[in-house]
Amino acid sequence: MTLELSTLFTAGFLYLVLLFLIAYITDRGWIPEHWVSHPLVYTLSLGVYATSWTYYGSVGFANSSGYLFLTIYLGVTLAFALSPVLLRPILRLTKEYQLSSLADLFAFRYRSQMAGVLVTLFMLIGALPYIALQIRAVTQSLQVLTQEAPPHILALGFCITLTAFAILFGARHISPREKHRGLVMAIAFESLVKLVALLGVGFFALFGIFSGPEGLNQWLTENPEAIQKLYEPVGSSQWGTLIFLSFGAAFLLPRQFHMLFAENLREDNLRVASWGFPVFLLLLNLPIPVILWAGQYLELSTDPDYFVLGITLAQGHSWLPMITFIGGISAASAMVIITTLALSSMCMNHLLLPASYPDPRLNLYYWLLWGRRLLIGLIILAGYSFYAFLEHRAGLAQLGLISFVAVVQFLPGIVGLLYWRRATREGLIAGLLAGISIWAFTLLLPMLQHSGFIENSYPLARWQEIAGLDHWSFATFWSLSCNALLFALVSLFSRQRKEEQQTADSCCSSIFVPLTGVVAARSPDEFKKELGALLGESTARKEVDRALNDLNMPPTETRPTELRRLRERIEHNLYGLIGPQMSHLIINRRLALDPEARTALADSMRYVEERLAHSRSLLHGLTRELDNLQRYQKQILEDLPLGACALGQDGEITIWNQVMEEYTGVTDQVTVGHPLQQLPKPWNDLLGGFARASDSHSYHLEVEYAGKTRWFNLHKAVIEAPQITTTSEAPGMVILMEDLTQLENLEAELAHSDRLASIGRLAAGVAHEIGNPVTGIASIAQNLKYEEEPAAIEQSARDILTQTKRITSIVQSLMNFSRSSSGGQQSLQPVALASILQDALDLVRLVHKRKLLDYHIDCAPELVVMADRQRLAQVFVNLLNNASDASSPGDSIHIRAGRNASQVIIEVIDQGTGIPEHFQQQLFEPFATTKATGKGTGLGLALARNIVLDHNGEIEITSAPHAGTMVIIRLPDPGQSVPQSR
Amino acid sequence: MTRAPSNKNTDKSLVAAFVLVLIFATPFTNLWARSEWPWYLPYLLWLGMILLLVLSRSRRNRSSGENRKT
Repeated sequence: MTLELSTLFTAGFLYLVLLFLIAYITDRGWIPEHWVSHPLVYTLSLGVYATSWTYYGSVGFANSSGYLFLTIYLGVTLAFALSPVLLRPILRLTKEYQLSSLADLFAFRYRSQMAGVLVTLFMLIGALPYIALQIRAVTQSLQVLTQEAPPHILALGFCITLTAFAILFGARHISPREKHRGLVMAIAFESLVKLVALLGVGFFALFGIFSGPEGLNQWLTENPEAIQKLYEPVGSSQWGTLIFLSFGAAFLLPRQFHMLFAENLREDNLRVASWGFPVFLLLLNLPIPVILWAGQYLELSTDPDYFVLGITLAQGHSWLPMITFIGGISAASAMVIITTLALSSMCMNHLLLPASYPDPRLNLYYWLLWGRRLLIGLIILAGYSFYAFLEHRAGLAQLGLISFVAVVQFLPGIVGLLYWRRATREGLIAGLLAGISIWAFTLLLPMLQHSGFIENSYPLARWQEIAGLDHWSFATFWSLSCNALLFALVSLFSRQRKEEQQTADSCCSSIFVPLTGVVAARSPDEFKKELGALLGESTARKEVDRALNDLNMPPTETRPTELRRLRERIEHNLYGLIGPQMSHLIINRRLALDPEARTALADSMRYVEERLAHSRSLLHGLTRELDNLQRYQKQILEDLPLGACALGQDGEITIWNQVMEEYTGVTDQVTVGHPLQQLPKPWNDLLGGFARASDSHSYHLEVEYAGKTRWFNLHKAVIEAPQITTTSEAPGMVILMEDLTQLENLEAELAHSDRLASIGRLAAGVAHEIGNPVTGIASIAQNLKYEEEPAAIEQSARDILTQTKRITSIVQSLMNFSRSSSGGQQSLQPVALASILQDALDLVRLVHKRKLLDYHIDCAPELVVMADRQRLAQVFVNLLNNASDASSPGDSIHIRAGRNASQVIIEVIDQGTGIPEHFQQQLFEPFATTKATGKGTGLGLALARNIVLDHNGEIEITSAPHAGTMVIIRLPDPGQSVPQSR
Repeated sequence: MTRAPSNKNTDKSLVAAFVLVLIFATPFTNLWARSEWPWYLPYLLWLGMILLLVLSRSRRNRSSGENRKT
């Protein structure tokens, strides 16, 4: 039976429309994301590897070379078995640097435009026979189904249709670097169709032709040579060569590289694909021997390459050949579409853009889009030309294998890229040129000669005979050997440039490359302006905004580290748009690094931490242990119950721990990388001033923050380890911050308690002192009723007023003393020292009146100090109380006040019992007292010391047993400059 | 110290690749490439290799899970 050409063409066209609809609804988001990014979809999309060669040609290949056809898939299984050491590193590189093709990858690693051009050209030449193979498979399948030679225009029509669909699938969007989710879904569907179709044909062969496994076994028993022929070539020289070729083709063919790496949505999908894809290939190849034997059983006259179609026609069903034909269309169209998309991207980045970079006034995105569309058309046209002018005698497998030998020429380069840092671009180019030349000499030219394009011949067959190698092994061995040898030798004898070394380190083991410069442009706006000169204003704006968005960076960012990161991100994003080499050139030209500018330690630290975090999964052994230790040490600093802030060489903050964030309310996002001076108030003054000061410690610093007063102690130390980084030239500093606010509040409460305790002790004296004028007033009042003389009455009234003033004065003193103080620096005011001393003495006298002590104040009335009057009075009350307690009746107590160059000095001297030597060390400790229980709290001197410290003063006690005690207080002279802290 | 899971993956993948090369690309092929064996024997060997890959992957999952817990 035969099918109508128009029916087949319509079916093929409708099938392509269906594929486009699948791609379209996927792109529109109508298919759930978890389906699109499912590992099964990714695995099936890799099925683009199986082209018409697999679908039709495998049976022909099995007919001529037995199980040799399996090598084409065993090599792929080997490549996927090695995915952790081979495919995953490439996937990481392509994802990290947005590299979409092998040419991009080589141009990036070897920092060579020439490498990109060579890879592109060679890929293009190598792919043309393969595209021609697909066109030929489709036209010949039409011939088989219609039993007549299809018009030549049909092949051209097929190519035009494929061009349209390739543009619709892959060049519909403006930005070529976006993942083509719809395309991946459509290719996965295509793989499923061809798998189902081929399995269906195999099922039909087994049950429809052989009537089941028994029938097949019977036929095989009758024809033992069938199995024998299959096993014959196993282990031959071709066997190993083809496994090796397919191993390379598994990830180096443009379409494989594109689907494996450029269209990978999730890195984890590769793990499933590492076994899922071999399963797919196994299922696809399972029916091949059965189909072959069915064809032989039916004694078909068809070319064995098309037995897949031939056996379906033999039984008279029309739907089965149609489904089989659709499967063949699937295989051919998927290959052509993906290959041309991948090649167009390579040609654009490595041929067209370097040759004629568009005017910046043009919209780069549209230029790239139309450029790619044009290239897709040209590549398919070139494939068609190859098909049209070639002799059709070569089998499908032969055409495919020529491409395989071409792509394995990239193996030395890819091994060098992943594992050999010393590999140079000169080595790569030399090796590739040698490999390409030998490939052309041994495979391409004989094919052209075979087709009559070349007249001259050379004794290739004889050379192969001398070498004892078959056609494919000869070409593969010599091309690859010379390629690898030259690659290694030239690499060893050529000098590697610095930028190539950096990318080699990045590719070989994701090693951190330290920052070596600062971007000359100082803000994202300057980035846009600079890039606009080459990319065009709108493109530059979009790219900078996109990079800012990728990094979650504000457009106002000015920190050098962040700008460096932004520069890197823009460069990586541009890799996907215009290729790595062009992107590198543009970025280097417009966003130059200033190599002289020193990189701050904070910048390097953050950069290192980010890179380490990113590549942590790659660390192992000592490096991983070291990373754990580093993280542990950092965590110690983070969890320290003190505020910790480390500064780099220019005072830029490198560490700002959690407690520091709690104290200041400023996060490390804002502080790290900035100098202390850029901190918000009041921390810039507090920490900046302390960092500049010569003292290593500063106590009891008062800060007004968020409407509250807080107190801190600060400590600092110089970091004596300049060799920790190559970018650091001078030591940094670490500042520790201790919050005293709670302690200060507690002390204030204690001081108040102490005052109340003092009041209790004063109460008796006060009562007595008030009792006298009250008695006087009572007497005057009693006598007043007998007075008649106005003058006497007036005198009595004056006396009463005098007595009441005395009472008021006593009460006022007591109230002043008992009132709680605010205790802040802001309450310091200029006060006359003599009046404070007098107030204190008046109170103390009340208590110690009976001792008849002789108090002497020697203080000039004009002597002024900056003080909280009430708190300073408490100091003197405490000191005078102590002195009075220690004195015997009739002793003298002297209070002298004077000034030296910068201080006011007050001395309180008594002639009392003095302080025992063993007690003198703990005089200022709270609750330390020599007095009997109930006589004192032990807080007096401790509070006096704190109050004096609050006044930026000093207190000192000298005493000897039985020789009296002298307390010396030094307060800053308000006439001099007042230091903020001690 | 626990070794990085990526190292285990590498070891297993190298072992799997070695076995595949041993069975399919060395003189070991002479042991199975005989006409007295069933025609589907290469497919069974191939399937065995794939099962080895699946097995190593499932172990890999478990070990990486353990690593995460430690």
